[in-house]
Amino acid sequence: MLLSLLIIIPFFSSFLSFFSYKLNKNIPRWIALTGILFTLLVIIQIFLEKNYYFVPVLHYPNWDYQFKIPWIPQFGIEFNIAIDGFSIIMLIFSSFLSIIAIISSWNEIKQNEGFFYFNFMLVLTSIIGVFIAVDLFLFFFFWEIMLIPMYFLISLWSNEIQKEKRYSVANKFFIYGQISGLILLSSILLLVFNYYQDTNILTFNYNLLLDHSINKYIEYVIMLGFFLAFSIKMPIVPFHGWLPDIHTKSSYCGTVEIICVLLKTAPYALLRYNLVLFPYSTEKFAPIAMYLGIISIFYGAWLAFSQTNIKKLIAYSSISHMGLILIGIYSNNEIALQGVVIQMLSNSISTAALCIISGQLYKRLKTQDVRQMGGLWSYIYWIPGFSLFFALANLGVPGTGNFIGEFLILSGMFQTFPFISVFATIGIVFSSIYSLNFIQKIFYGSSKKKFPIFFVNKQELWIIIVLIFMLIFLGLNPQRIINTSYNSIHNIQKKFNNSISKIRL
Amino acid sequence: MIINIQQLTAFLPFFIVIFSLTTVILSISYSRNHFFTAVFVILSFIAVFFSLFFLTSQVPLDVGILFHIDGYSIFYIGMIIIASISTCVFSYPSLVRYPYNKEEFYLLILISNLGAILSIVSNHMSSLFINIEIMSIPMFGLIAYFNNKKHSLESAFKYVILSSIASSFLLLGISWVYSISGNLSFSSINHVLNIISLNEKLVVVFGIIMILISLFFKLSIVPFHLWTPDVYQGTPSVVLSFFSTVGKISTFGILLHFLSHISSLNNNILYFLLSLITIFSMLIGNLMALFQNNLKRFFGYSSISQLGYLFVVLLVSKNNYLLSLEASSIYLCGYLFSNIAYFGIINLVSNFYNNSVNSISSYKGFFWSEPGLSSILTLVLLSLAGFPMTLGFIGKFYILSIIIKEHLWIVGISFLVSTILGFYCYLRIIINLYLDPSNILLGQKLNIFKNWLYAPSAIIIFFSAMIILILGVYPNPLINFIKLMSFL
Repeated sequence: MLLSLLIIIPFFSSFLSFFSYKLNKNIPRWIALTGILFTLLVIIQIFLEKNYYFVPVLHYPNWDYQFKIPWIPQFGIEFNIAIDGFSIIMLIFSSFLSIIAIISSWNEIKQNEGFFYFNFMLVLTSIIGVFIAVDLFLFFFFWEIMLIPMYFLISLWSNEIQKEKRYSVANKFFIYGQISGLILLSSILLLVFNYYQDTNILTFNYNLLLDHSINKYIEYVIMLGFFLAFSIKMPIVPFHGWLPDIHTKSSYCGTVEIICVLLKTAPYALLRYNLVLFPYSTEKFAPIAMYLGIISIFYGAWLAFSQTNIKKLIAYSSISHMGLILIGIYSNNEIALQGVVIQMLSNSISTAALCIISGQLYKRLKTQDVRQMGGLWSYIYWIPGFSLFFALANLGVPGTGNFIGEFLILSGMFQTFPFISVFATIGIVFSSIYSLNFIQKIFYGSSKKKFPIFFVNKQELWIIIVLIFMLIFLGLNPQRIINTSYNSIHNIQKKFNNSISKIRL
Repeated sequence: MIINIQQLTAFLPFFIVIFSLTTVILSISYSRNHFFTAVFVILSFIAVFFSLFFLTSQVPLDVGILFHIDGYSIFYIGMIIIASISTCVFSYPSLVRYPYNKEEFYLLILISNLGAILSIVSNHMSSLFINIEIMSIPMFGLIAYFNNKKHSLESAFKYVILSSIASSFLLLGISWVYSISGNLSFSSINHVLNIISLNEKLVVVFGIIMILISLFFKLSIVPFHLWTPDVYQGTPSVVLSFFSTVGKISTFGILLHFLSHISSLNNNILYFLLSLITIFSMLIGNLMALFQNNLKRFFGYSSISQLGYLFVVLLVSKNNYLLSLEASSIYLCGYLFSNIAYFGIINLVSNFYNNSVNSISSYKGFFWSEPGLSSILTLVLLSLAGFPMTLGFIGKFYILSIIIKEHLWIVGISFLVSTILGFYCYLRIIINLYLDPSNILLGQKLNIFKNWLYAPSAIIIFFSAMIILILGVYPNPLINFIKLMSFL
């Protein structure tokens, strides 16, 4: 029952915040904030009830909590949610980052607050749903539901003056998302009907579908469908077209939600579904995925280098990091998978912080163009130092979580794919070049214009300080995260490996 | 021919319609009273709806050789009755303003409704032809009813000519089939197809194709779709909610019934043509809807693609008749309620401003002045697009699962492409509702609900939106109900 609260609380707080708008303009954000805080409390309660020790449990779908009621019995669809160590980490981080997104939007959203927080909480609901669904139909349901509120967040509260442009951007996002969703739905149906043909049971249950072996050609097709759907959301290079545009056009509160929380659903889904449902074809497909990952790393880094818009730069850098995560996922190595988890979290924190900083710069300077900035260090307090820290964190300086993540991914991968590991390491060099270039162009040198000296207000300061502490915590004490997610990651990897060897025999 | 008491009870709904028809005619000729007529017609429709309950214990049942009633036809009749009730409710406020004769409108709706429900249960070529004519001839009058409006007569003329051509095709096809089978009942076709020689079979197939063409005309499937947007544009939105639900639901019911009777016809060319028609109607409907600026024209095109999706059901109805019946019923149910809500809202707004407000741009910022109605409109559009949490999605889900189960890959790909195109179309309208209201027309506060005249319409719109939402999240009751109907 506790689990269903995770869906119920944010869902109803979204409606509450919409209807309370009539009473007072300030109530919606308080309702949204308390909604997330209650959700976080529930998550922490679940977290504390189960002790995540370093004790391996030997079979894979080992849910700590499960909640199941029938939904559409004709199709074998259940409202089936469950939680394990991996999803609990994702939940904690996504709700935490959503709190930060809300606080950073506190004074930014000046129109239609009720509707904004309505959409915001709906996005959060669906993201939580994605992380805890173990029924494939339910997973798809949440995967789709997040599109509409996100669409409104992008199109209605964007900082673009030209209206036509921002709708086309939002449409682009929606169409990409819809393509991903439809491909996902068709491949889920293909999987389910395949199971039905063999066993005469129509079910969407993840646990049941897990232990079923499919004809290898059909498996490859289904795997490809899942991979396409997830890599559009992730985004990986040939499918990345929507991200940079969205990033520049939407307001930074929306961006924090997109880049930090929304994008993390795709690697999660890859780990949870692709690796264990289709081990054979995933193994066959791994080289291609790795090449795509390498291409993303270099493409993202190079394009980030040439950007003149801060937000586009951040977007491309996150594409480049997503490439690294993709390589880690397909490396078939446990250490690398642990690294993927750390990297997902720390990357989202550092990008979130960079987004917030760029938003604050935009608020003051009314431009996102790097060429018009320069020499800002002498005009602004605090922000340059912070952005230096986050830029360094982004390129993986020891002491931050990104370093741990990259190190674990690369070193884990070295055992199985040494050459690709070396290549990916070269990508990090490029990421340091663009980060330092970006810092240099904005904050150092002579200033292009006379800017008034400005201060950062307390609230913004605290947000960033909290993010810094989180990042350093991840860098200094990653073992806690690894311990919590150990069981599920370990078992995912083992299940993947076992099934491969079974097929080979 | 002896008709027993059981068959008479089975005909109770039809008798009620005929009875109220005569009463309305008499009351018009005696003294005109708009309010009385409207209330009487609505009440008699409600009575018909509840009298369907008596049928459930008696079906399946043959009434003479002309009619055959089964569980599905009861379900389809129920949908048609709901559409008629909502049309009458919506039309009352618009007719109050109409300066000329008002009561004949209800008369036309009653006649057309009678034709529609009779044609669903008909099991014989002659009754099929007559009932289709009874259904479509009053439509001419309905389309041209508000003839003081722009485009009204034009669209009526277009529909008259094309509909009569379609009817002549139907008659031609029936005569070709009759020339071989020597019998007009549906079941004889199947029997004849098994025993005739190849040459004779060609004649029968030609006749069947003629009949199908005429039905496709009524459904405005792609090669025969050119009239749709023009007729939709000129038709008043009240009539449109009737025209696009009753006409299409009943014609589709006939089509399904008819095709189930020629199941022994294994004709690859027919199958190929049917799949081509399906693919092109899905694609072209959505593609053309992209460029429309008029809400009615837009809906005309989008209804083409909606029916295109539904035609996937026909492709597999031979192998998997029950599942396809279930899918089509759910899909049509979603289509019905979204139609009612969509045209209800357009009608409400147009009525309120005393002129028709049809262009998409005039709904700019509608959300900020009228949040309730525009939330419902958003829901309806999402349901038409097939987004989760709406009944439309459940229908799409059924159709996609049929596609994947039967491995119709090419149809599947065009289904995906056209769904994405469709999303683009519907999003264009949805985002329009949420823009900053710069338009004076709808920017002001409407207060539609202050007027008691509009209260029943608003209730019906709200009710159908709730059905779309609730059955979309929890479709079990509907699925169970349809299953129950199929066992009758």
